[in-house]
Amino acid sequence: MNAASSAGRRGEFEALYERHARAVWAVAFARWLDAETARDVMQETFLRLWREWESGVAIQNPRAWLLRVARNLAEDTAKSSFRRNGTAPAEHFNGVCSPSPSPMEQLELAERNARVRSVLEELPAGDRDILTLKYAMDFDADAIGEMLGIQVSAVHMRLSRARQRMADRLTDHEGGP
Amino acid sequence: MASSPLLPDADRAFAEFFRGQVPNPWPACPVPASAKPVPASEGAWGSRFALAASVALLLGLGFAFTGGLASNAKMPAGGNLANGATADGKGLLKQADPMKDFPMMP
Repeated sequence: MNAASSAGRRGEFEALYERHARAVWAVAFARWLDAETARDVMQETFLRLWREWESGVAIQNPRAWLLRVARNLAEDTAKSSFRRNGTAPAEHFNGVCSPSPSPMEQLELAERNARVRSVLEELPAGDRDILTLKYAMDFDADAIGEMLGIQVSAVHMRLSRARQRMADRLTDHEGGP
Repeated sequence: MASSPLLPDADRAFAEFFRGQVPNPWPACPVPASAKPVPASEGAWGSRFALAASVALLLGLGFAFTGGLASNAKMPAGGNLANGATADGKGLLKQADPMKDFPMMP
């Protein structure tokens, strides 16, 4: 790669990052429910894209490629983590990222988030995908449909069912949401 | 979408949970090692600067060292214990005779 084409590639790479990084993060987060791991998977996914380019591989559909690689990496990470830690979740799984003005509110928010997390862990992967894309990234149904390769009507249906399943399970947990 | 009295609360809980997880600020685009821009002159300037600093340090130390010797050479005559001494030691012995100005005892 000469200097000019490298600069061009770099610009293209950054544009792809701007366009698809959130979806890649969401896919990894849906698998792990851990923001740090999702960020690591996201960055590794993009670095692999760059290495593919460097090795001369032409990627026809970068978004599909990125999402597939992110899913695979997240899965591999999950397996290797399971080998290391068994079923114990990472220590920061229940960490609260949002600012909290008082210890009591922080505690309530942490408990509520822990309930949501434990319910999410019980849901099928497809539900977690669609809920993450909707609630974390606020993608609309068209965008979610493109990312998941499904019709918009199917997005609405899946999202509705996933929300209902989440809500039902939250009521089963002590206190509800 | 299915309607449920719980959903507004659940929606709020979901949104609170998910949005609390999204990195803020969003991480910058990763920079592949081979894509880091290295200006052609950057390496040359770096080595030139290192060379110049080394030469300056060498010259400075040399100057300080030789300057110190020169200042020693300019020491007043009285301050030099070996003033007038020669390699054979005669001058040294001559000067070092502290009794020469005293009368000899019979």
